[in-house]
Order: sequence, then structure tokens, then C-alpha cells
Amino acid sequence: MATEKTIRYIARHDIFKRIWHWSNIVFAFLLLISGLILFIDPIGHSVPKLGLQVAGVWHRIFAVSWMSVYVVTFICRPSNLINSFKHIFHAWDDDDKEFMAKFFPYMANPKNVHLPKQGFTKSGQRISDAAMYLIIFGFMISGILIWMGPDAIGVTAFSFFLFCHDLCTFGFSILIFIHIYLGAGIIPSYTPRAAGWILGNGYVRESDALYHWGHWAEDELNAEVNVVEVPEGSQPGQALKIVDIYKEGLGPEHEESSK
Amino acid sequence: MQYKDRPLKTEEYNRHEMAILFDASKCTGCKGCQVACKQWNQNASPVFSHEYTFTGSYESPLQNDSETFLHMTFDEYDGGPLGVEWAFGREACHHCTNAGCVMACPTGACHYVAGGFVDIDPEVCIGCHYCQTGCPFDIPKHSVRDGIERKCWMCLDRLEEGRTPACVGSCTSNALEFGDREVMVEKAQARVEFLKDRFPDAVAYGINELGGLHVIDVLPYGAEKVGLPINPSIPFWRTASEFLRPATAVGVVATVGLLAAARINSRHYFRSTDALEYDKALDETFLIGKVNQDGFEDMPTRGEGEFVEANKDEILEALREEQAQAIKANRNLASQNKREGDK
Repeated sequence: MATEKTIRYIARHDIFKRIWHWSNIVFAFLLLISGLILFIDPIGHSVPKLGLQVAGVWHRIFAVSWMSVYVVTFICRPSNLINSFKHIFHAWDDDDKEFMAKFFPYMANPKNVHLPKQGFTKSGQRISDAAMYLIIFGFMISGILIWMGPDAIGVTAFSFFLFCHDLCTFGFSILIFIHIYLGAGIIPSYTPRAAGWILGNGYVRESDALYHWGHWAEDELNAEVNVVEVPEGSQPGQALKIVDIYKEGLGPEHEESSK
Repeated sequence: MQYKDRPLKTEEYNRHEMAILFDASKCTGCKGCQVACKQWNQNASPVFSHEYTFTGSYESPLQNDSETFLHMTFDEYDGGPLGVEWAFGREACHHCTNAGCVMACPTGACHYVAGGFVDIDPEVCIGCHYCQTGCPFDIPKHSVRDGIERKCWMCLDRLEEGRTPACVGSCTSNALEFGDREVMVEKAQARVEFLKDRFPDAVAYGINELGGLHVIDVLPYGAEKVGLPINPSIPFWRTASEFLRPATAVGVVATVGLLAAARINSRHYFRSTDALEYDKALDETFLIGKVNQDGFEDMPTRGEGEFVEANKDEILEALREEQAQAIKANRNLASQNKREGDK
């Protein structure tokens, strides 16, 4: 346990995951701005032709750059994406079901609604991650096919993938507000520190980790390989590489198992 | 119908909806209209002899494209007193009242003009292909040369000078007429009535389709024989995409509204910075500093609101003692059960 005047931190997001997430923020914003010009008719009708053409070119440049980051970060650390998908498809235990059942009442009334412990990825987060991946890959695939044009893929297919692209815009526009509300700690119980976990040095304070992902935090604190203890008021360095305690046999067999 | 600021010099065209009437029963298939259209619009044609490969069709080219606004179709069928029937058709923009291309265009390049026609403004068009997804007749075509979409524009420059479209002016068999749409509709209906005895499938196409077309076709063999869709409508995926725009706006507003309400409702709640700690020896997480009237709470909790600062070590010492007592009691119970089981 933490001695007086020291705080324990657990490494949660390595450098590649943080680079990947930063790129998501930057490119999603740029793509949204350059894409909404054509999505929202009043804007498209007001912008001069040159502005529309420039937006179209930059939309493609941003899209290719964004996809490149996915490819590079996957090559550098394939386990991040693979584990992310493993978490999404992991079977739900009783804590996961209880979490999801109480989540929306919790958002409205965090003082009086108590949530159960969760593993590395909360059950609600898994649903959100699955939707986000579906939307992002939907954007990428439909975008590439739209770029090819109706001469290459046919007018009907072009029309369909344009619809898919618009559908992804619909889903992303809604999901991103929920993501920011929770991830940036606008919800009071999450605190603004939440944004720093994946946007900062990748470390989570012991208390925050126990609050959000009780099972995972306890496993990590037992294993101690990803835990640092620093004097109160100072910060640990950057979380560069994280040991997978479950893969190394340092954690329980099933990380999401209820205790 | 919304008009952009394109009034025509010929006042009649500004006051009334106008239309082309194409009577296929009078058409000789000379393609003079197709040639006149190309000439007036300075659209390119192949310059080398035999540049087109043999297709076995009288159609040339085989479909409309960005350089061929008007394409006359020839469909041969067995029958008639001479053994062959030719169904002539006219493949060009129908200038719909409820035009899918105008609905689809994100830049406003595709717009309505006075007279009820649909034009693509080359100064605004960015060649995004969206209009192609909205047209049930597959008319707008992308020009690789100009990077924009192109189609029949009803020779608006000729209309502004009080003339008829180039195709109408070139017709030698009076198969093409241009005038007030209501008059053209009446003529079309009267002509169909006249043709019914000889051509039972004769129809007047374009009276009500898509809110009314501004090219009315009298088709002796029916619409399907010349490749026109029965009851044309804006393609499904285009309609679905158009639905998503307001749906996205509603969804975003609703989401932000609900989140704002949740935030306001929970504004008085706060969670302490370091309220939770994990004890490895006890394998338990504790809420540090929570004191109630009866003593200390040791269960992992959250959302507790305000709490009183207390001595952490005292709490843990009390908990360890409590747990040790519980372990001892469990061992005694286990031993007792074993003795009873042995008996």
C-alpha cells in the first residue's frame, strides 16, 4: 500500500496506443470539418467552388494519413489492436451485466447508483469500442470506394457506399459526444484527470484505477510489474511499454472474472 | 419549386413552365437532333474514321455521356406490316419537377431555372458525382476533361434569345415541339388517343412522373420498350442519405441535450482524489476516510459524496482485526462440520 506522501500509479496505455489515440483526435476533427462541408447542404451552398475543391483534396490527404497511422501503430505494437478486439468479444460476466444495467441511471445520478468492479475494459466501453471500430473502418472502406468513383464501381454501388459514409457520420457524430463526455471527465464522477490517461503519460492513479476497473487494478497492484510509486505532487514518466500480466501468468486466468 | 436568379429574357418562359414534346410516332430516327445538340454545345466527337468499333446497333454512341447530352435510341422488334418495328427513344435529361440531382447536389450547382428546367452551373460544380446517385434515368455524366458533371441544359442561352432548344429547331419531321407545358401535355394526350388503334401500348410519358417532367414523350410502344422506367423514383440509397442529414442533426441535439441534463443533475456530486486504496495482504480495496455514525465501512464503494477525513491506519487496523476474527470463526465452523461429518 502507498506510504504516506506517496502515490501509486498503474501504467495503462503505452506510447503507441497514445499516439494512435492522439491521431484519432486530430484526424477525426480535420476529417469532420472537411467532410461536413459536403454533408451539410447550407454550408456546401455557401462555400465557393475553390474552397470546396480544397476541402475535398484535404479530406483525402487527411484520410490517407489517418489510415497510415493505424497501419504503423499496428505494425509497431499489434497486441494493442488484437487485445482491443479480444476485450470486445470477451464473454460478459455478472459484473459486466450489472454494470451495463446500472450505467444509464449512474450517468444521471452518480451519487446514489453504485457500479460493480470491472476488468480492463468495462462492458459499456466494449460496446462503445465495437461501435467506434465499426464506424472508423466503415469510414475507411466506404471512403476508398467512393474515391474510386461511379465509373469504377457503378452508380448503384457508389450510391450505396455514399450512404454508408453518411451513416458512419451519423453514428460518429452521436458517439463522439458521449465519448468526450465520459473520456474527458465532464461527468463529475470521472474527473478531468480521465483525459490525461490516454492523452498524457498513460499512467492512472491507484484510486482512479480502483474506482473504474477494480478487478484489473487489483490484479496489477498484486503483480506490481506495471506499478510505480512516486512522491505526492510529482508524476511518473511516460508509460512506454506495458507488461501483459495475464499473458505472462502474473494475473488471474480470466481478467474479467468476478471475485 | 425554387428558382435561382436565372430569369430568361423571353418573358413567356419566366411566367410559364415550358416543355419539349417528343412524338416518337413522327420520329424518323435521322439523329439530326443529336447532331444539332453536339454542334450547339460544342461537344466533342471522335475525329478519326472508324474510331467506334462495330456494335451491331444503329445507336452511335451507345449511350449518353459527358459529350453526348442527347442520345437517340433504336430498339428493333419483330412485327408490323414490314416485319420489323423500330421504337425510337430519346435519352436525355427529363428536367424533372422533383429532380433527384438537385436534391443530391451538395454545392447548389444543380439547380432549377425559370421554365422548370434543371441546369448544372459549371462555375459551382466540383464533379463530386452526387447528382448521378439521384437520377433515376442515369443522365448526368462526369467530364474527365472539365472535372464537372454535364448534361442537357435545355439550351438556356438559346431560350434567353427567344429561340427553341437546338434539337427542336433541327427536327424536320415535327417530332419535336417546344412550348407551354400544359399545352404540350394536352397535345401528348390527344396524340396517344389517336395512336391507340394502331399502337395499343402507346403512352404519354412524363405528365406526372417525379412531379411532372419537362420533356414529354409520346411513345407508341410504351416506355419499357425504349428503356424508360415505369413510375421512376429517386433511387433508394439517395433518399436514405438525404434522410440521414436531418437525422444526424436531431441525434446530435438530443445527445448533447441529454448529456447536459445529466451533467446538471449530477453537478453537486464529487469524488475524492485518493479515496480508494488496495491492500495486497488483505486482497481488498478500501474507501479511506469514510466514517459513519456507527464506525467504519470497509466495502469497496463509489458515489459516496462527501466524507470526513479519518486516520487510514486506524481503519485498516480495525479491519484486519475484524477479518482475523472472521477467519478464525470460519475455521472453527469448518472443524465442527468435519467432526460431525466423521460421526
